[in-house]
Amino acid sequence: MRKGWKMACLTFFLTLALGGCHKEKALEYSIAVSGEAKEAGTVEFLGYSINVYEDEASNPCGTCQQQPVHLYVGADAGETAQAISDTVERADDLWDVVSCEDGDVVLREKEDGSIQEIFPLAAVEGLSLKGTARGRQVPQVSGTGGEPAGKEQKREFPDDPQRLAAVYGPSYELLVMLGAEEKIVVRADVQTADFPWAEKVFGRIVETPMLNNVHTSVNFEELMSFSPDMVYTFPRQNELNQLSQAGVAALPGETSGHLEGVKKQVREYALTLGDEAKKRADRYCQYFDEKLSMIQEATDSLEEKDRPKVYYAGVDILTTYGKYSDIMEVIQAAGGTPVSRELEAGNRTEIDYEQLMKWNPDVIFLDHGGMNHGETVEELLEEISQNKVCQSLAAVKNRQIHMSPSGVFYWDMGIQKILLIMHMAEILHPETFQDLDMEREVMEFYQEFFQYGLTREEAVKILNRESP
Amino acid sequence: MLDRKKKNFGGLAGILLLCLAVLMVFSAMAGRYFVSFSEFVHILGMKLSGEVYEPSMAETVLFGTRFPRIAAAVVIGCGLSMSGAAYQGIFRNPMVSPDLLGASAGAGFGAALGFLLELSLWAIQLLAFGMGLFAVLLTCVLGRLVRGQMDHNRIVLVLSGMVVGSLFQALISLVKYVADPFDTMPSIAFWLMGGLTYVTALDMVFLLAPVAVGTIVLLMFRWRINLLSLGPDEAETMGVSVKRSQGVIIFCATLMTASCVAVGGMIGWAGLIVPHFSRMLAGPDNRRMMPCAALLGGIFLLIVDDAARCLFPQEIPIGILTAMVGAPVFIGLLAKGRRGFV
Repeated sequence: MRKGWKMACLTFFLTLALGGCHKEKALEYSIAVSGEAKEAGTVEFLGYSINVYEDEASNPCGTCQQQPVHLYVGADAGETAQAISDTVERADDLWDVVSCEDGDVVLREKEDGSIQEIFPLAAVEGLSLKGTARGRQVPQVSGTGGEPAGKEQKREFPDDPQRLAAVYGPSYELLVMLGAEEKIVVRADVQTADFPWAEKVFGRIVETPMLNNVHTSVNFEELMSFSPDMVYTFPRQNELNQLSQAGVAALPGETSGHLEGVKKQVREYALTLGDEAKKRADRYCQYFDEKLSMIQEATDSLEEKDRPKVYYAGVDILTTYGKYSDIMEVIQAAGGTPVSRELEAGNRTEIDYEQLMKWNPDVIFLDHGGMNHGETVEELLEEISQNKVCQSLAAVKNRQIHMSPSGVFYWDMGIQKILLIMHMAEILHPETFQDLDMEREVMEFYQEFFQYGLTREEAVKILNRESP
Repeated sequence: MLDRKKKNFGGLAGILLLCLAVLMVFSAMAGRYFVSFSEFVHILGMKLSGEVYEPSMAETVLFGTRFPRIAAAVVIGCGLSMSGAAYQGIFRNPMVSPDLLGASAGAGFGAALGFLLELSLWAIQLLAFGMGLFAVLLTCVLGRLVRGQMDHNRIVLVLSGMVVGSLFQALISLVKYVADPFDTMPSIAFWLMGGLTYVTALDMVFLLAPVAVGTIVLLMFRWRINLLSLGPDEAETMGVSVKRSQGVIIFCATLMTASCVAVGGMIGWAGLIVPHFSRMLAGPDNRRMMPCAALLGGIFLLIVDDAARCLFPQEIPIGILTAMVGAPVFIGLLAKGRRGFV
């Protein structure tokens, strides 16, 4: 008996010890700036971007709170470096600023091992950025600048891909936004499975052939039968290896824990497509920044007591998002306090009723559900209200359960996340945002990025999570 | 001599019963949502006296989620342990657990299919229950077909059980493979790992009837299990109708396992190790061992479920915990070796 226990304990601790040994050195990244900005555009580094404006008149935001960092044509190396340092400090997410002098910025990752790859540096005409990584080997995504610290692992993209495979869930809406829908030769089943609006809004999605069951795995041979020259797919290493061996360029999608990730993904996609797409990406990122600052201008100053406690559920009432999900930032930006911000989890985890009651949220949002099950929003809400346990929650008592809209795709996943922030802000602080016309915003968004003119009735339907 | 043993057994059963009662009260007090002792007594008093009062959050926590969970943990623990003990008895094999004849895998497949077809929770449970019964029926029919004239009745049955079990495991994998991992997959995954999160008072009806019937019948049959564990020929000469008894026992065990799996998901290990514990405490005689196993099963699963719901803000699937507790305990039992049944 005793021997058995000893063995069991030993195995357990050995596993723990082995698990704990693996530690990585902190990554340092320095950016050297030289030259002077000669035109308007954006400065991009590590997934962040700083807008460069022609002059003050062309800056729509001025010195508004969310875009305190910006540059004007004529900015020199010192100013640009300072702006880079400010951006990183304000974002306060992945990097710490070690030093910033004479056009050289040195950054260090906040948590050892948290940076998985380094994004390309890019700047407007006249400015040039050079990046150097030290301490740990991190793959660098291809682009201008950046000397790899170790083994070079560049992603090679074809110059002007004509046959695109939109396999990754949000890739279809992204490619439409970037003006490349015409080039999509194959797509995924999940892009229409729950989204009748996608069939209506996207011109070619119905006639485009699709791959089935992509969330689990992609049938390689079937994918190849469409002979794509650029595949936008899931971050699954085995499938990426397969593609690279077949000599097909691929860009894996990624879920980031931060709102910056939305823009980062848009820019990554644009990089594979050419100048027109880059312009559209710039336009989207600018829109994203503008709308986010508009919301945050009003919500940043809110005190803790004025921020309703928000619980964001996906699929069912007990499945939720943890601290590694960007939904935390969505809720915070919209002026709420995410109740699950301490939960050690990413995008989907399960809690129990007692935990939910302990949090007792003021407002509940429910995503990823309903739509195609033949139930209307009212029926679904009624169903939850009938649940005896839920009835005691403040949010249910005050009828503060809301279904997150989805339109052409999930709002918690793709480029419509900015709409989710606005929509949530309007619900959480109706008085502050009484001038915000959400229907108008949805119509404008669809017009601007999907070139589809929604009627006001249709916008209402999308916001109510109803089918067309 | 005999009297003293009987007396001892009475004492043991009494102690276990007391343990279970104390543990249930303790569990009712523990949880992520804090309910103070005075509040607890107050609410209970109000409820018992039938006085009208304002329903509070604490009351909902207690009656809406905590009490049903506690009850379900005890009943499922009892059901799984009893069917495990019965199987171990009639198959004369200490490594046997309630899923031997494919009941768990069948019920698992039924539930996974239910999630995939987006049925309501009730329909999912019914489908799971039905599939569990169907799997065991399939095992029995297969066993009969294969056996032919041979008399290696039980070995053939165990082998058919393995085949049917693997078949249904493969079907579960198939459902998992085609399920949408953003919507359906988490529900299936959480469910396959076992959990009592969603148990409501209504589920208890579904659970209590089969487990109560199964437990009572098995307890009535426990002396026959003693004889069956000697071997079919010996049992037959002692006047036990082997075929019929075996059929009744398998039916009861399957009924209990399928309903437990239908409500609580795939909870492994409880049906395997609890009978061994029980044998350590009460000896190998099924007449004493089986009632002990019923009580011990309740205690075991209640403790594990308390851990599952109290340790972390997230729900830990109970199947993971039973395995983590079960594996080292089982190693201990193996190391102890030779004594008792092992």
